[in-house]
Amino acid sequence: MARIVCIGSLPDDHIRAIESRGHTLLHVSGESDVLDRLLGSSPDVVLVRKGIPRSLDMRIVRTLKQDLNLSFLSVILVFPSKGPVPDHTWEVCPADDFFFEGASTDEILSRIDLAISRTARLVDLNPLTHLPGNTSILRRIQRILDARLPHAVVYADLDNFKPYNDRYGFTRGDEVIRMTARIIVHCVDEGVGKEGFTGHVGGDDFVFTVPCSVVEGVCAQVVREFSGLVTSFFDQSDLDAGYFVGLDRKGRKETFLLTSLSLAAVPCPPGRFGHYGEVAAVAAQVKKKVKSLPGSAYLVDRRTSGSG
Amino acid sequence: MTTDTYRKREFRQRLREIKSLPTLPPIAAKLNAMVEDEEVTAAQVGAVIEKDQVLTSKLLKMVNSSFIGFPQRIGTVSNAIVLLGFDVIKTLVVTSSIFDAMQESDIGLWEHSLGVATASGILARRRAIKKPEEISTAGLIHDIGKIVIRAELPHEYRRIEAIASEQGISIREAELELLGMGHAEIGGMLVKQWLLPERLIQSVSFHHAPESSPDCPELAAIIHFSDILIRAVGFGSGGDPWVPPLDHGAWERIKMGRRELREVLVELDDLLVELQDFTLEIRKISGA
Repeated sequence: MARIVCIGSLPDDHIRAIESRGHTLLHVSGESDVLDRLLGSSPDVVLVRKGIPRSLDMRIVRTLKQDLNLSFLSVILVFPSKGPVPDHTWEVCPADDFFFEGASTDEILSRIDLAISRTARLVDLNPLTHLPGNTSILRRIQRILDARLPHAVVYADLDNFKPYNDRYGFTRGDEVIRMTARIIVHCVDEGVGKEGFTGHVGGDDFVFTVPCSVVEGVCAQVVREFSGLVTSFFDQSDLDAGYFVGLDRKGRKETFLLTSLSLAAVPCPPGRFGHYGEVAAVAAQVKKKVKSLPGSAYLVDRRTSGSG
Repeated sequence: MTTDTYRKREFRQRLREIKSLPTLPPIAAKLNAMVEDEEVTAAQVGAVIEKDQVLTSKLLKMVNSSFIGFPQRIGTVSNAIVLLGFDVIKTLVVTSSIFDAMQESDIGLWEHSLGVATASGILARRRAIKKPEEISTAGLIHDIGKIVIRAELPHEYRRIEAIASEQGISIREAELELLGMGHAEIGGMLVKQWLLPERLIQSVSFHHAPESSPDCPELAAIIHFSDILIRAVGFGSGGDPWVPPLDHGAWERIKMGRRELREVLVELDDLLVELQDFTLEIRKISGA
């Protein structure tokens, strides 16, 4: 049965109904450290009572929904009284479902069941990073071109990632991927907020898009943050040496420079490209250049002609 | 089982049940105002969080929690921020708990902690320790055990203060007398439960006995010496008028000649003057 966390108070009969179904119900009330305690209890479903002081209800729902690792959590809003749901509720408070206090036991339990199964169904995202995958990425790029948005498309990938996996194991490799995802998402988010987009092509390939005006700054920050954090994924001896020993494709010993991040940015001013395939072609050229630079680096394509 | 180990077990259990550690109301107020301001960046908010031992430890607790799923232990605020994102930081700020009744000693301890963070950062850079920011963090949170006692054991806290002033002994000695363990050990237990990096755990646990640190006596020695330095220059307050005794082993380890010590003091003085702008601002908001 599920672990359900309830933020704010719930009527006694609702509590009894949920618990009699075999769910574990944990109450988090008061305002302090709500998020901390919420995370500490590893819930499957979160009930949030609408109308907690200081708009904490909205803030918590938004925080959960915007976090990569938490967005899959099903959030059910509980409205204190029956009546029309105010306009824009779901924009400012992107919950998954709701019920009114005083709803029948059957309804409440069904909604919770639905929330649990919905969580299980969310497979559209990359399972490792929970970022949108290829279809969303292509759609995003095409939208930039069609809507003539002055945005840049940035292709990110790791250098010497395969030998890293061989040397340190897949689990640790996966962690490097997740760290990279978090860094990109948060740098994009801080740089441009909702105007930005981050997707995970798969493996160690990512794509993000930001307005051309900030692409340089966001790339620089991603590279800086990555460089600061990637060191914690290497043993001290490898860090001191500046390289590590692994096997090449033929199984021979070879030395590899420490895993780094390369960003190839392609600005798409209106009219430069018509189709995302053209963007990808230019990106491949830029990538080749940036990969030849040592360590983590970015390069913004400065050619503006359509020929690429 | 001896009373001591029983007591420690009881204490560990109690630490696990800690729901929230309070922070200073003026800092919370300042941060709350910041997160409402659309122009404010994560780095600016981070710079203030980095000046509060409780918020810093909570942030590190979050980024190191299994639910966030980042297994490489993170020990600096800036790394934590980029991994958690601004939304999480904002919620942390808005939901942080504050002291119901703030005392002069709370501000004093906060200033002392800031001073130690500054001094340990200087020493870590001079000794070319990797990740010097982590050592500053350790300096900032080294007395988190005192906040635990203050917030979770209010009765004992008053007794400790009374014992220290009646007998003319240090707060630490009074803690040992009453609780059977000091704030260093208590703080160490807490940050261990919170899954902070081992370097931080040991720096906090052994800041009064740096040579007992199994893996990083050098770091513990830096915090130990910074603590003494800040008490000696009189920045903030550690709760009693005594400067803790200098551990000889740690002093040998730090290897600081007179000339270097003079340089450190000059460097420290400059940074403390800068810091004072902030501490005065906080004192002003608090009306202290």
